[in-house]
Amino acid sequence: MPRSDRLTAWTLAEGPSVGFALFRIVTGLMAIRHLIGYARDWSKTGFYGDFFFYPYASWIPQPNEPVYLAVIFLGILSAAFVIVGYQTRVASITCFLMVAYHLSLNQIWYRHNRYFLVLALLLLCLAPAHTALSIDATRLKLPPIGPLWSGFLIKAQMTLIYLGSAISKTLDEGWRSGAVLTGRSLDRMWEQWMPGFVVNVIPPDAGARLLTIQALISEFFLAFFVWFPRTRRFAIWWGIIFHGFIEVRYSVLTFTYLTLATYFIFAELRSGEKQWLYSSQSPLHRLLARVVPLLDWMFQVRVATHSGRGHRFIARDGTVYRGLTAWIMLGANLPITFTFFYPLSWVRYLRWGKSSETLESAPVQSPKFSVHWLVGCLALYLVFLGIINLHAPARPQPEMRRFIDLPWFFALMCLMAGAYHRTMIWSSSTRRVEVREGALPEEAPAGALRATS
Amino acid sequence: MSTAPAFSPSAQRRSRIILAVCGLYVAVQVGIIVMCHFTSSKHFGFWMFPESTYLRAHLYRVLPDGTEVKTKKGSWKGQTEAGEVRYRWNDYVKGYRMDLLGKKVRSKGTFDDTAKYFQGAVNYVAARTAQDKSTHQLVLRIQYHRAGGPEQMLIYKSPPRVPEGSQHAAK
Repeated sequence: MPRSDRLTAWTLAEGPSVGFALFRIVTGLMAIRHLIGYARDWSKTGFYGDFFFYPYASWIPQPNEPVYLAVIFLGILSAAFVIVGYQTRVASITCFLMVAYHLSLNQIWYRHNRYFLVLALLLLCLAPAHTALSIDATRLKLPPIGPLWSGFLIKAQMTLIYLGSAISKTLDEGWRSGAVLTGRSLDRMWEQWMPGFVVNVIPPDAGARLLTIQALISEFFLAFFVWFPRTRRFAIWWGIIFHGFIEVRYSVLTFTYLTLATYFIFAELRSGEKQWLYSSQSPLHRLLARVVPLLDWMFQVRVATHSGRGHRFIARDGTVYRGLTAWIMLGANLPITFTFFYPLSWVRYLRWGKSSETLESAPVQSPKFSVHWLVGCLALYLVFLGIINLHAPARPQPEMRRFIDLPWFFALMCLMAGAYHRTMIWSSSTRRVEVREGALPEEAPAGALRATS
Repeated sequence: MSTAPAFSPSAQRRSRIILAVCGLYVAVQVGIIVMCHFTSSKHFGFWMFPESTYLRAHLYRVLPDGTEVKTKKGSWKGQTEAGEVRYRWNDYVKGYRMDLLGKKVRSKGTFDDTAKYFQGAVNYVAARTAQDKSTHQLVLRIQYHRAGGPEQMLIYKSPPRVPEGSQHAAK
C-alpha cells in the first residue's frame, strides 16, 4: 500500500471506543472538581471581580456576578451530562466553552493542570467518547467503536506535556542541581522517611539530587514508553506511582487524574479479552464473581464458572493460570488493584501457576445495574459537593478536601461498570471460546466455554 | 493499466481534514512549549514545578512629605474627607499568596509572574484607596531568593497620587 494510502487508512481507522469513554468520565469528574472550587471561593470571599485580578486581554468580556455564577453552574451541569453520557457532544462542547472561558478571565488562576483540563475537554469534543458507557450509546444503540485519530492527539498531548516538563527542567540549572526540589523540602522528606543507614550513606542534599534525577528520567521515560505495547504496562504502573506520589505530596488538583485517564487511551482497550473462571463450589468465588465486574472498569475480564475446584485466569494470549498466580493476574487486570499486583504479575514469566488441564466452563452474566443508580449517585455527589463547598460550617480542611471525593469516584466507577459491564462483555451474546496453548482465543459456536492449555 | 483508488474522494477529503487538524494541533502545542523557553511567563508551556522561589513582601506608604512608612501587614489608617479610614491590602487582594504580606512564602508558579501580579496589585490597591489623602504612593518591597540563588529585592511603586508638577510629586 502506498504511503499516502497508509496515512489515509490511519486517519480513517476505527476501533474500540471504551478508552475514550473512560477518559470522558474522568474528565467530566475533573471539570466538576475544578469548577466547584471556584464556587467555594465565591461563597467564601465573594465575586472575583470585586478584588484584584489580572485579565489576559481587554477584549475578553468580563462577566457580572450572576453571569459568572451561571458559567460555573452550566459548566458543572454539562460536566455531569458528560459523565453519564447524555447528549454527550453538546455537553462536551458546553463544558469546554465554560471551563475555557472561565480560565481566560484571570491570569492568576492559571495552573498547568487547569490548562490541561481545558485541552482534555477540547480533545473530548473531537473524540468518539459517546459511543460507549453512555446513555446516548444505549438510547441510540451505538456500537462501542469510533474513529481513533483523536486518540493520537490525546496521546501526543500527554507526551508533549512530559517532554515540555522534562526538557525545561533539564535545561534549568536550579533543577539540575537539585536546588528546586530542595526548596520544596524533599531533602527534609528524605531525612524523615529514609532509614538511618540510608541517610548516613546518602545525605539529604544528595537524596534531593537523586530524586531530581529520578523525576527527570521518569518524565522522559513516560513520554515515550507508554506508546509501545511491550513497555506500556510497566510505564503505566510507573506513571501511577510517580503521579500518585506527586498528588499526595503536593496536590495538583486535576492533573494526576487526567494523566491517568490518558492511560486508558494508551492502553488500547478491547473488551472481554481475558477470562476469570471460578469454581461454582466455592462461596467466596461466587461472591467475587459478583464483585469483579464492578471493579473491572476497563471491561477486560469475562467471568465464567466451572464445576471443578479452584479458579483459573486466562490471559489475552490464551495462557491459563491457576492458584495464586491466577489471583495475581486477576488483581493485575483490575484498575483499582493494578498498582499492587502488577509487579507480582511478573511471575507469569516463570513456569509457576500455569495450567494445562482442560475445563468445561459456562459463561456467567455480569450483574446488571440500572444506569439510574449511576445518575442517582452522581446527583448525590453534586449535592454533597454543594454542601461541603458552599455551606461554611460543613467545609472540610483544605488538606482533606482533595481526598474527600475519592470514595465518590470509586462508587461512581463501580456503578458505571455495573451499568455497562454486561453490555460491553456480552453484547455479542453468549459465545463458546476455545483457548489453545500459544494461540489467541478463537470464536466458536455458542455453548459452553472450554479452556485448554 | 490504471488502478482504482483505494479510497473514495470524500474519504480522502475527510482524511486530509483530519491530518490538517492533527498537524495544526501538534504544531501549536510544540510552538507554545518552545516559545516558553524564550519568555518569562511559562503559561501554557507545561513547566511543572518550574522553580522554588521564596519571597516576603512588605507594603509601604509614601506620605505627602516623602517619608516612607511601613504598613502593618498591609493595614494602615488613612485620612479621607470623611475622616479616618482603616485600609487593608487583603480587602483588595486575595489568593496566590499575595495576601500574605510580611510572611515568607514560596512563590506559586514562576516568580516573574508573581512579581507581575504584585505590580498590578499595588496599582489596583492605590487606585481603590484614592480617597486617602495622607498617602502619596504605595510601595511594595519584595525580598526574594530563587533556589540556590542569593537574596534579592524588588520594589514596585504605584503611580504617584498627586498629579505631576505639583509640590509633592516633585519628591
